[in-house]
Amino acid sequence: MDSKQKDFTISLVLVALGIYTTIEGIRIYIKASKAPYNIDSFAISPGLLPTILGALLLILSLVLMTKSLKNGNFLIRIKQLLTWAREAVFDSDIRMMVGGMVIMGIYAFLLIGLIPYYLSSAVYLASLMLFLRASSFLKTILVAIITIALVILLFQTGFNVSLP
Amino acid sequence: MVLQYLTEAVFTVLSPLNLLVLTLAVGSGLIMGMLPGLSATMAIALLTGLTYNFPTQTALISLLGVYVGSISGGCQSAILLNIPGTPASAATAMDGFPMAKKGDGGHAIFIATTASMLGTLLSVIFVLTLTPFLTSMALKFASWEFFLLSIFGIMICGALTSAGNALKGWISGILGLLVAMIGLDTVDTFARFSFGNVNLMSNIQLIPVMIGLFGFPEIVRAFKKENEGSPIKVSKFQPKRGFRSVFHNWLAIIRSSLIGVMVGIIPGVGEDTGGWLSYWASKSQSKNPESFGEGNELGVISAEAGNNACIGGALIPVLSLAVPGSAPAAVLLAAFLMHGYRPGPLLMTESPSFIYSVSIYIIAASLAMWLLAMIIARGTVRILGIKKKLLMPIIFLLCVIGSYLINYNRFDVKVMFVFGLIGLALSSADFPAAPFLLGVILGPMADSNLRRGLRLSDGSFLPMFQRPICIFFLIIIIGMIFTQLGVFSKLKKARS
Repeated sequence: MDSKQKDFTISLVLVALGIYTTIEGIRIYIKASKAPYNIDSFAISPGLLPTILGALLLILSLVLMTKSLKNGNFLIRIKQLLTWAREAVFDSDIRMMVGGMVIMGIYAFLLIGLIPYYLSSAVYLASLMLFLRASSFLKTILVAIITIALVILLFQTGFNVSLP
Repeated sequence: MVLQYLTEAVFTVLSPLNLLVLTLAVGSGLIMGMLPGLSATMAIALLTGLTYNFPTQTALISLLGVYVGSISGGCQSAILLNIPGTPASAATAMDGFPMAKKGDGGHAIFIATTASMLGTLLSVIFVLTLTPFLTSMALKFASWEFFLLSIFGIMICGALTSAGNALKGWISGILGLLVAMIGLDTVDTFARFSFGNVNLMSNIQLIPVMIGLFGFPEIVRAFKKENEGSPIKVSKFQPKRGFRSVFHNWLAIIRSSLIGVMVGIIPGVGEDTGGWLSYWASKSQSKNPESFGEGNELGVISAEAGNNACIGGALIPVLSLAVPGSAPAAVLLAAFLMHGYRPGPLLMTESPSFIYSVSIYIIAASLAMWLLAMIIARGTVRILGIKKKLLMPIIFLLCVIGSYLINYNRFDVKVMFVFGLIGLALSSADFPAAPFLLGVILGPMADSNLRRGLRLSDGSFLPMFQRPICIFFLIIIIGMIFTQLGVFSKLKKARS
């Protein structure tokens, strides 16, 4: 994806975010003007800065989008984006990165807290290293166990802090 | 009398027990500073409890030692892994990490540590000499000045880090400010953007955001096939070359230290801002500004001298007004109180030797920090020699721990992951992460001070254009916008 296409893609998201934030800022102002807050003036409302920031984000994102459309119109950019998305599915680098992030996500969102820390971390480390083909099976397992032991020793014993 | 106080402090710090305590405290500070999530604030807070039964002077030495160590230690992980150990080292990563990628990690650590030491030492001179003058200046900062200072900081950072496209830097800064709006606002405790979630109501924590933005993209990029089996080039460690670099950049060290002290004095503005402003000053003074962000050693030196000089700066309002200049200084103030000292206007009457003892202890701590950091660095530079695909999963494990330890809350781990994805998206589209982070840091200050100022003026913006310091900031901000938009160069062209 070329830099203009990247700018276009991200500006789409930012424009949407700018619109949402501006509307939400005004909604905060309306909510804060009612009881128990009773803040009538917009200048001192908690919605002031979010509204200003939302509007600024919207303006700057539109400028970015306009700049990105210099060598192609809106529809051409959308078509290019869809083509890139189709190709990305078969890109080996993207597959490795997404696969790695999925393992990291499972560890961060599910495993921590569900099973004891030493076990969840060892499972995460071993599975990610094996997925990335970082080393041989035996070495990977050994590295995972040694790392967890050192982490527990340093943080729990050394710094006296409890781990998740 | 002053000489007697200074001599007594020197003898105190040189006693075998205190030297041992100083070494242990600085060493722990360095390690805690290196590990993302274990901030300087946390390091001092953890140690404060442990020092409860220590003799008073020993406790002071250990607390100041861990403060100096933790602020300085953050540079090593910033340089080697692009993960700042503490927010203070975020600016260091800008040029430190590119240096490490070029195989100059050892050199970068050497100059960063030396600049840190010199920045701290220079700041002590200000603690001793300029305390009354600078304190009166800092007191002139009111709501409007704080608001403009935060906007100024984000705009500078956005312009500096965006490689010629300030628009992207400013958008990144706005996104950071928006993240800072999440949770209960500090003026009316109104819940914003929290969707009824209790964790979101208590605001987004800075450290998980920082780890996510800076660390996560580096970890994920290491999963690419091109990195298969290719360990990162092992970096060199060259003290002679390091001393030469530091000597050649002596002016930048003095300038950055001055900026750091000034920033440190202003309450609420921490070491991170000191690092960024010093970095900006050096870049704008440089004949070769485009080399910044590509591995310019001046960037590393300026950022480190600037953030460490904040140590002395932040202590000035603590000692004279009992108002902390930064978060770690706030914890330090509590520790001083716990050990029977009452910082504030009466300090010089009640404990006349205190300010001199503190100064000597900081000097001793910065010298010990330099020695220990050099010893530790010989081991840490070898980290880059480990195969990326083996190293990065372990780094993510440390990122998880760092995020969790802030509040012992698993929600912060999820926050780190989400901001990691945002950081990855932003960096893929060449948006700098630094203004985003600064936006998160300065957002609460900008919001509360803007509304406080407006409340005092009955909703009028007029006072912002009437106060001298505000006018100064406004001129710089407008000048910066015009410069970045090319208005001045267009005018020049039109004239010629």
